[in-house]
Amino acid sequence: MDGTRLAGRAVAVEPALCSRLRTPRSACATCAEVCPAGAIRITDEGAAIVGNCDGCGVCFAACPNGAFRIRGRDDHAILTGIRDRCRPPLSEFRIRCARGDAPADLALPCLGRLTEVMLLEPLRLGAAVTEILEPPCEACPSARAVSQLGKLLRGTRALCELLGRGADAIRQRRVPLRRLPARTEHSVTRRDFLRVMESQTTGLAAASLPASSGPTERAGRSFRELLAQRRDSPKRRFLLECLRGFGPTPAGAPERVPVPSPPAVEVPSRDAIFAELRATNQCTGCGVCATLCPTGALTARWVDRQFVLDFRPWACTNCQVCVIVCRPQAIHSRETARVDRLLRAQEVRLLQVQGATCRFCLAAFPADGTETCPLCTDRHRKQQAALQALFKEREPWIERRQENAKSITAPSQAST
Amino acid sequence: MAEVGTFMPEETVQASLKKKGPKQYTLWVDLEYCIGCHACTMGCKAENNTPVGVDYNRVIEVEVGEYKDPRQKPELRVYFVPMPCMHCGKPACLAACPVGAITKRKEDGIVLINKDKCIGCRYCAWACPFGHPQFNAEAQVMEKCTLCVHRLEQGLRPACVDTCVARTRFFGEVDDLVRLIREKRASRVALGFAGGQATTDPSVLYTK
Repeated sequence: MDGTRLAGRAVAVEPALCSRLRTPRSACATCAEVCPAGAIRITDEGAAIVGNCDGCGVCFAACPNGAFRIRGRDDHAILTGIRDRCRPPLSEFRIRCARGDAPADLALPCLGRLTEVMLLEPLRLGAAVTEILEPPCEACPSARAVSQLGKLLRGTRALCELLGRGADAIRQRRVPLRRLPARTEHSVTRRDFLRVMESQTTGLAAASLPASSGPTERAGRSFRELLAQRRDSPKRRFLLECLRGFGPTPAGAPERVPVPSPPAVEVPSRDAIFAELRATNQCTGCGVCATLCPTGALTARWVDRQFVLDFRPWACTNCQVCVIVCRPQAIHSRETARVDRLLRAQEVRLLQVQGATCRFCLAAFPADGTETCPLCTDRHRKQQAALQALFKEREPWIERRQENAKSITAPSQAST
Repeated sequence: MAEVGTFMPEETVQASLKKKGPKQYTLWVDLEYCIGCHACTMGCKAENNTPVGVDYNRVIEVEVGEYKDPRQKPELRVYFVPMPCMHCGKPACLAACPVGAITKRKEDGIVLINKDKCIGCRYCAWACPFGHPQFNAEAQVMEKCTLCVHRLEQGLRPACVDTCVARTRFFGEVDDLVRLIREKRASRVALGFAGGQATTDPSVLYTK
């Protein structure tokens, strides 16, 4: 469990993947919003599990980067379960939540736990349809956990189209909600009281303490080492494995377009599982987007006095960190994303500009025909402007000297 | 310990350092007597061991007035303005930092860069209205004036204040400094701030 916080719990945060740790500018709070137990709090150092975690794993599914580690029922274990159940002949694969009252092939703690790969894996293994058995979630106390389900379904249906299965390969069916056994009323014991107190107050004392003066260390590594460490989102790794596994048509499945030439499927970028980025000439070559990208989808480097910004669409998780942090707003995500880029392992070159070296600060910057980098030019202008404002009002010494001059010249005129 | 010739009494400095609760340490630079010798720059450089090209305290020359008619006396004067970090009340650098490496300490109002967090992106230098933070190419981080926070902890004044040969720089808590300026120079002096009380609320005081 290297690099994970609170390793004793069922769910641990993977700090290097959390957008909130990488930049406080990110407004992402999806995990805290969906957590049915309300056990996640967003701190200055990213998401932290502070309350009574049930280990349901909804946070992992909701996080664009999959920045959580779940002990036991992680995606690998669930996929192994799906593979065990998928034995042909199989027409449909049914998934229900713990409270859905219907027979199913796979039971998850909550439908918020669904990830793209769980819906696609049965299709890959020969099922014609993946069916989600959906109880009335609005009647469930954990309703907030499924808030991301619509986005997930839209994104996954686009992937189905890409794979030639059609959007109706994933279906939803309403099922009744299973009644929970009525809770037996009992008096509150001291132990219960303290347990509730613990879940409500853990982390509060730590949050109220002033920031430590020493170097910030997380599991023995400094913040910058943590930033430099890039790892693929575990969610994305499983999904890519599954997508690439859609090989030759299995027996019984309808004919479809072979994978080498996937059709161009465009989806609105808010539903897409990656952002199609583009960069403009306003780029100053600072490389912050690449430094802060959690999954290493962006790489910025200087090659032969040229600044090069490369993008690997299949690693991007649409977390928008690069767009938020760019000061000159030179990086944007397009309105739509072409999902087929996930299958082509092709780097996209966003930007390639000639560089120059600044005469003053010796920093490399995208050349604009001058010898001075825009920052040094700006610094000189700003300092002069600030100091001119300081001396803006009429100089008292001028008036004083004029008065002095009068008093000196007057007697000399009188003497002549 | 009695200071000979120092404008700011040592007792006031020590009282400022011992003051409890939120406060704002700052500098007062009396431009009337600054002779532009750059001793503060060198004292700072020696104290903080900054590399070539990085100076926490640059002295900027500003020309005020115009020289129009050669037959009359020119209404022109050059001021030497030492520009340390202004340790602003609302620091623009703090707001611009993409990784949250800059903090303004509540207990003494000093704005500091956490070098463990800084990624050297220079966004703070872009945002600062005085262009103060500078890039240290060796360590690949941004650096700025710390108001010699390591000396303050030992009960000493910042190095630039001790080095100033013309005794034009004074260190203290902002209220103490304002009181001192009013005592000594109230008759003819207006307090000035770089940027003319810019939106970032700079704390370093100038008089001219």
